[in-house]
Amino acid sequence: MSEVKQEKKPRKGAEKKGKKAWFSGWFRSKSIWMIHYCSACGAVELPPVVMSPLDFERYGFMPAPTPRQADAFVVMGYVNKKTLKVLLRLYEQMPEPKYVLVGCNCPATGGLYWDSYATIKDISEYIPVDVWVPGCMPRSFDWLKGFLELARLVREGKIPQTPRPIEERPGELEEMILKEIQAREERFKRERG
Amino acid sequence: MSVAEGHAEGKDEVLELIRRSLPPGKFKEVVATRWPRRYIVFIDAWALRPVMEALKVAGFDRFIAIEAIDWYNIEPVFELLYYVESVKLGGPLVIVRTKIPRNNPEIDTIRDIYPLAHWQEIENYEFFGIRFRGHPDLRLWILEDNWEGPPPLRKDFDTVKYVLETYYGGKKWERPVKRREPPPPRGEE
Amino acid sequence: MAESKPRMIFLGPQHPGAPGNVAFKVWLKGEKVVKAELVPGFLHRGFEKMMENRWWEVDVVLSPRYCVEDPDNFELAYVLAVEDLFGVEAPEKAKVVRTIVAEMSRIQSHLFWLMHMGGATGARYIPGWAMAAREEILKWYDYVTGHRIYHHYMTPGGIRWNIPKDFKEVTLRALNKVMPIVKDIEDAFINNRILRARTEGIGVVKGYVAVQLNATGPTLRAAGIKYDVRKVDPYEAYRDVDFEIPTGTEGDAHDRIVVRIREIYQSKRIIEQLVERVKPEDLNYRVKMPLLPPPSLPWPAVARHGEGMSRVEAARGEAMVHVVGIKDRKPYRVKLITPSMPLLTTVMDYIIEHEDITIADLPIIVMSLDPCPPDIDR
Repeated sequence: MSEVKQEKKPRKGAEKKGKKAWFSGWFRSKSIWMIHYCSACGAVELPPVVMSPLDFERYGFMPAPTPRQADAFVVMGYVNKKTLKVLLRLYEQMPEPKYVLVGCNCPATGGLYWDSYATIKDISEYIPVDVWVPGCMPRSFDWLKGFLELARLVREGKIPQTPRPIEERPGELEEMILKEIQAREERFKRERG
Repeated sequence: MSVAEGHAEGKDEVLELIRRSLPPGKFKEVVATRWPRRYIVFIDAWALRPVMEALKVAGFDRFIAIEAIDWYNIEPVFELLYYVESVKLGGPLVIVRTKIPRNNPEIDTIRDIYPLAHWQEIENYEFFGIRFRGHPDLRLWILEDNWEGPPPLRKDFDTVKYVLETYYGGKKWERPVKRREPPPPRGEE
Repeated sequence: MAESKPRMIFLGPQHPGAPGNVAFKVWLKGEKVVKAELVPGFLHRGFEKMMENRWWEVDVVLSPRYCVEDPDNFELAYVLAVEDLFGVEAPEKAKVVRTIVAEMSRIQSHLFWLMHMGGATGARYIPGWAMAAREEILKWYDYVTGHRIYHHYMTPGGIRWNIPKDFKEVTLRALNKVMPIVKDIEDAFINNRILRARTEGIGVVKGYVAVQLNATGPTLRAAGIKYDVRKVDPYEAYRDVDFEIPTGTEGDAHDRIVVRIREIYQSKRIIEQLVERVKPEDLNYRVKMPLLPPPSLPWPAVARHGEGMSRVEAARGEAMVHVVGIKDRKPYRVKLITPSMPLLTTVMDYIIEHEDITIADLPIIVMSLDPCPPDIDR
C-alpha cells in the first residue's frame, strides 16, 4: 500500500499573485456555492438571505445540495459534538478551494450555551475560519454582509488554501478523514483533559 | 404553594370518574389541583401498569410525557410524573405521580399501553438512568455521540464544573487567554 | 426475482428534504420505504440542566430558544409557569399583548413551514412568497419588541416594556400586507393539480387513530378531531375571543396544509379582535414579582416551595412547562414538554406501516407533519 501523499507545497499557480490569480479570484468570488446544511438556530435567518427580500443569488451565492459541489461552508449557530462529526466530514469532502463562514456567538465563544455539556465552545479549533458573523442571532443583513465580506476576501485572494492530499486508491480519502477526526479528538482530549 | 391548594369546591365529575375507574386499593390518593381540570393521582410504583390501563379505559387517551425529578438532597428518590390527557372528555389532564428509590431506579414499562411512552422512556433512561422493566430498547438516543458518562440530568452531576474544567481551564471568570497554535500552513502568502 | 434484503440509507441531516438538522434511518426495498427510524440529537444542548443553573429571570432568555421557528409560544409557556409558581397574575393589558405576540408567532411559524412544504413539493415559487410575508411579521416584531427572532418580550408579571403608540396601526398594517400573500399562496398552492396529486391520500392519519398515536396540534386537527388547548384549557386572553378550530376530514398531507393555512386566518381574526382592546397610554402592563427575603435583591429573589405548570397551544401542538421551586434563586427542575416528538416517532411509524410510500413521498410526509427538531432534542 502506498503511503498517503501529503503535498508540502501549495499547488503551483493556485494562489500566486498576478493577472491569472486575480482573474481566478474574481471569477470565484462571483459564484460561491454554500453548502445547504442548516446546522442550528442561525439557519432561521438564512431564508430571508436566500430568498425574498435580500436574495443573495444576485451576488452569485447559491445553496448547493452536496458538499462535493460546494465552495463555502457555513456554520449556523451552536455546534454540539454529534453535529461536529457531521460538520468535519462535510468539510473534508468539499473540494478545494473552500471557504468557511461562521455565524452566531455560540460557535465562537460558547455564547449563551457556555455551560452546556454537549456543545463545543470554539469551532476554530477544528476548522480554519475565514469570516465571522457575530450576533445572537445575526440579522439577515448581517449574514449578507458576511457573505459579501467572504466574496471580497476571495476576490482579493486573501484566503490561501491548504493543499489537500491526492487520492490514489478508492476509499483512501475516507480513511484519511476518519484518521484526521480521530487525531483531532485525541488532541482535544490531551489539551482539555 | 401546594398543588392541591384552593381548588373550587363542588361536585367534580371528572374527579368522580377517575376515582370510580381506578382499581381500588392500587392508588393512594386522587386530588383536584388548584389548576382547573387538572388532577393528580398518587400511586405506588408497583401499581403503575394497572392504573395506567384503567386510565386509558376511562378515556384518558393521549399520552403526553414522562417527567423525572431527582429529589437528591431532600429525599433519596426519583419522582416520576406521567402526563395523560383526555381528548374524549374534552381536555382534562391527569398527572400520575410515583416515587422510586434513587439507588435502584426501576419501574415497569408502559410502552404497550401508550405508544409514545416507548420514546419517552428511552429519553428518561438516558437523562436520568431510570431503567424501565420490559423495555427492549433502552439505549442512548438523543445523547448518542453527545455524551459519555453519568446521566447528565441527575443532581449529583455538576455540569458547570465539568464544562469549566473541560473547556475553560477551570475558571469561571478571568478565563485564561488560550494561545491558539498557529494555523497549519495554508499556502504561500 | 429473489426477495432482496432491505437496504438502509440515511436521510439527513445534510439533506434538503430533512426538516432541519435531524436524520432518519430509512430502510428501502427498491423504492419502497419499509421502515424509518428517527435519529435525533444533532441539536441537543441540555436545556433542562442549563435552566437549573440560572436564575428564574435569566431562564426567560433560554426559554424561546428550544424551538427556533415558533419562539413566542414556548416563551409564553415558561412565563406562565413561573407566574403560576410565584402566584402572580399579569395585568389585563399584558395578557392581551402577549396573546397578540403569540398569535403573530403562530402565523410566522406557519409561513416558515410553507417554505419547507413548497420546497418539498417542488413548488419553487411558494418559499419566496412565504418568506416575503414572514418578513413583514419580523419587521413588526423588530418594531414592537426590538428583535427579529428571539424577542424576550414577555416577562413573568407582564411584558418587558410598553407597546409603541401606533401599535394598532402597525399591527393592522402588517396583517394587511401579510394576508394578500397568504391568499395568493392559498390560490396558487392548495388547488394546484400537481400538489394535489402529490399530497392527497398520502400520510393518512384519520380519526381517533391520531389520538391513539398521541399526536397533537394541526396533525390531530387534520385528522378530524376538534381539539385545541386554546379552547379546552384557555389561557391568557383566549377566554373571551371568538375563533374557530379548523379541522380536516381525510387526515392526509393535503388536509394538514389546508388546516394550517386556515389557522393563519383564525390567528388574524384573533389579533384583529384583541388589537382593539390595547391602549398604549395604559401604563399598567407589568406587576412587580413578590419578594421573599432577602428583599434587597431585584425582583425574583427567591421562589417559594412549590410547583407551577402551564399548558399552551404552540404552532406544532400542545406544549407544557412544569417548574419546581425550592427556596432558591434558581429553579430546582424545569421540564419542557414539547409537541414534536410524537410526530416523528409514533405517527411516522404508523404511516410507513400502513401505506405504500416511496422515498420521494417521504420528505412530503415529514414536512406535512411540521416537526421542529430542536424541541425533540432540547
